[in-house]
Amino acid sequence: MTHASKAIPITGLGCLCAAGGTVPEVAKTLFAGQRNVQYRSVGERRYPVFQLAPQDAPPRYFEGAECERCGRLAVAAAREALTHAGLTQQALVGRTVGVCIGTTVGSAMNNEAFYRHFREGRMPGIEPIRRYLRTNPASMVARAFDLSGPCQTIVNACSSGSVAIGHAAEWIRAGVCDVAIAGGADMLCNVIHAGFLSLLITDSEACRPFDRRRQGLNLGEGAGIVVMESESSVRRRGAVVQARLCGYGNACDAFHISAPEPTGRGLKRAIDLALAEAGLDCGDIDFINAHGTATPENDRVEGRLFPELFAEVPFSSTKGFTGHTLGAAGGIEAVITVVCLQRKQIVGNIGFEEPDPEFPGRPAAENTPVRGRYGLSDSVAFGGNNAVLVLGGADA
Amino acid sequence: MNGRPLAIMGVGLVGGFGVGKQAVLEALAKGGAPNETVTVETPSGPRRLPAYQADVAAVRPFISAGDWRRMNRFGKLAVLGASLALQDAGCKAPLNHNHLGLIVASGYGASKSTFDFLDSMLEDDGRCPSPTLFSNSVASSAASHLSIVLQSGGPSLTVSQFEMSPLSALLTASTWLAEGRVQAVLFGVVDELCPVLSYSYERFFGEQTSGPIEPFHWDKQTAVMGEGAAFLLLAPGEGGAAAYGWIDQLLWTRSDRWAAPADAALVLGADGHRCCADAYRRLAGDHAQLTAYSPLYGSLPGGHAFDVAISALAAQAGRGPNRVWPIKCDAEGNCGVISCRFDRAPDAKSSYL
Repeated sequence: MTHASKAIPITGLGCLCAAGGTVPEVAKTLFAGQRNVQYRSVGERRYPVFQLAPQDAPPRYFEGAECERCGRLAVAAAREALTHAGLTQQALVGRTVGVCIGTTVGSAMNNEAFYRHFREGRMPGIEPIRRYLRTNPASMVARAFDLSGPCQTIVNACSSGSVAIGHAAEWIRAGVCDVAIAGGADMLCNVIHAGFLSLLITDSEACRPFDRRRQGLNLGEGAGIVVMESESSVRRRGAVVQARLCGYGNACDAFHISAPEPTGRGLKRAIDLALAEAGLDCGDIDFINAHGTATPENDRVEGRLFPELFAEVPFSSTKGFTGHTLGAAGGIEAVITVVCLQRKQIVGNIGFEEPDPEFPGRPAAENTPVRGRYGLSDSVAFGGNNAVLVLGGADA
Repeated sequence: MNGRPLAIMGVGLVGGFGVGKQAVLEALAKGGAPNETVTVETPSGPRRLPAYQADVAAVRPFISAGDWRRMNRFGKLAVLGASLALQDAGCKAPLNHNHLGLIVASGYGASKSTFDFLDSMLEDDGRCPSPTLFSNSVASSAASHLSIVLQSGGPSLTVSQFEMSPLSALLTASTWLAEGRVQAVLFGVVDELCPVLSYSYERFFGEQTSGPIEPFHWDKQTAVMGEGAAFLLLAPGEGGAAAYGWIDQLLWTRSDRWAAPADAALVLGADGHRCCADAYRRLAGDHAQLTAYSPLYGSLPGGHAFDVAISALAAQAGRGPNRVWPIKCDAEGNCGVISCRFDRAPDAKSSYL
C-alpha cells in the first residue's frame, strides 16, 4: 500500500467548545483572537475555565444528568460533522459505521453526589449508576444515529481524541468499517478539576502556553469530531474531501505515571511514526498545532523538541481559546488543524508574550500564513502516552 | 477483521480461581465457585454477598518494592496478568524496546482509586485531594504502569466499552498487527471490584446475588460479581507458529441478526445476567456444544477475554474443543463473536519480540 493510498479522507467536521457552537463559529473566534474565559468555583476558590456558552450547548446539556454531558457533546459534534459530510441518517442505513470517541470524564464512574451519600451511609438510590451505564460516549453516538457497527470509547487520558482518529483510520484501512465517526468529547467536572488542582498544574489566570510566566492549564469542555470514509465510499457518493489523515503515530514514554519524559523521547517517536506513515519528512510539515497545555513541563518538552526537529516550522497552541479539554483536545485540535489547512493560516498562540529562556521554541503569537499542505497535531497524555496526527489538504 | 489470524503466544490469568494456568485448570476440573464474600450495607442491615476476588500478592516478583508501594491494585492486576502472559510466552521483562503494543480494556476502569480519590477530595472540605490517588484513578493508569514496568515504548490503548471492551480492543490489536505497527500485542482486560460496585450490585439485584452462577438458567438472575485480569500475547498469525492457536475472526454484530454455524462449539459469555439471557438463549438455539466459563471467574465486563483465554487452556489440556466461538452479548443488543482455532503448533516460541 502506498503512502497516498494509506491516507484516509475526512469528509466532515464538527466542533463545539468555549470558542463556539459550530466549526465556523469556532474558527471565527480563534482567528479574531477572542477568548471566552469564565470562572468556576472549586472549593473556596474560583478558577478560570473554558465553558460552553448556553446558546452553544446541546439540548438539555445543563439541565440533564451530568453523566450524559460527554455523550451529548459527542452527539452534537457528530451531527454537525455528518451534516457537513452530506451523510443523512437515511444514508447510513445498512452501512457499517464505526464510532471511536476519546474521553476522560465520559467513562468515569465518579458521581460526586451519589458517592457523598454512599460514604455517609445514606444508601443512595442507584439511578445515577443506571444512568452511567447508559452514557458511554461511543454508544451514545451509535444510538443517536442508529448505528450498529463497532464502537470504541478510548480512555488514553489527554491523547484520547487523537488516538480515536488514528484508530478509526486503521479500522477503515482494515475494512472493519467504511465510514467512521471519530474524535473526542469531554466536559467540565469538579472531581477532575480537583485532581488537576492537587497536581499543582493549573493557572489561576487565563492560561499562557509557552510563555515564561505560565503556571499551568485551564480546563475546558467540548467535542471535536471528524467523519472519515474509505476512498470507495467517497467515490460512490461523490463526497467532498475536506482533508486527509496522512499519518498517525502513538508511542509511550515508559517514564512516569503523570509527568512527561523531559527529553520528549516518546513524543519524538510518535512524530517519527506519523511522518513515516505519511511518507513525509519534517521539512514537509507546514505548521504544528501543539499540545501546549501551558504546564511548565509539557511546554518545555515541546518548546525544545519542535525547533530541534522542525527548525523554523511555525507552531501554536490553541488551548488559550479552548482550555484543556482533556480527551476532547485531540479531536478539537484535529478539526482546527484542518481549518488552518483550508485557510492556509494558523491561529496566533494567545497568552504568549514573554519567551521562556529555558527552551528555544517560540510559538506564532499572531495569525500566520502557511502553505497549507500538511499540518501536524500532537497530544501528550498522563502516563506518557503520545499521539500525533499528520493531516493533509484535500489533494494530499 | 482483516482476515488475518492472530496467533496466541501466551496466556496470563488472575481471578477468583487463583493465579495462573494451573489454577484455571484446577477450577475447570472442580467447577468454579466464588472464593470470597463482601459485606454491603442495605436498608435492612449488612448483607454478605459472594464474590470472585483476585489476590494481587503474586505480582511482587514482577515489580520493584517502589512500584509495589506506589501502584494501585488495578495496576497490580494488570501487571500481574500481563507478566504471566509474557512469562508464558518465554519473554522476560523489562523488554526495553518499542515493538510491543499494549492494549488494556476495562468495563469500569480504576474504580477503587477513583472513589479513594473522591474520599480524599471530600475529606477536610476538599483542601487536600491526593495527587497520587488522582494519577492512579485515570483510566489509562494500568497501561501506563505496564509501559513503565515493561519499559515498552510502543503504542498503548485503553478502551472502556463495558461488555464489548474486549472485542473492541481486539479489533485494534488486529489492525496494529496487520499494519505492522508492532511485532506483538499484549492485550488484556482488567476489572476490579470496589465497595460502590458491590453496593450497586446488591441494590440492582437484591436477593438474587446469592449465587451460584447458573449461566444456562435463562429466566433467572444468578450473576455473582467477579474481578481479575486476562491477558493474551498476540502475534501475527500467518507464519504458522502459535503456542495455543489462532483467533481467526472478530465480528461485531447484533444479537438478533446473527446465527452461529450449526456445528460450531459455542462458548457463551452468559454470566447469570437476566438482561442478556434472551440473546444467549436465541444464539444457543439447538447447538450441541455449549459451554460457559463464567462460573470459574464470575460476572465482569471483560468476561469475553477470559472466555478466549480459558478456551485456549482447556483445548491445550484436552479439556475443551479445538475450534470454539466465544460470544458476548450486552444489554444494548450488541453481540461480539471471536472465532478461535486451537490446533497445537509445536515450537511456537519464536523470536517475535
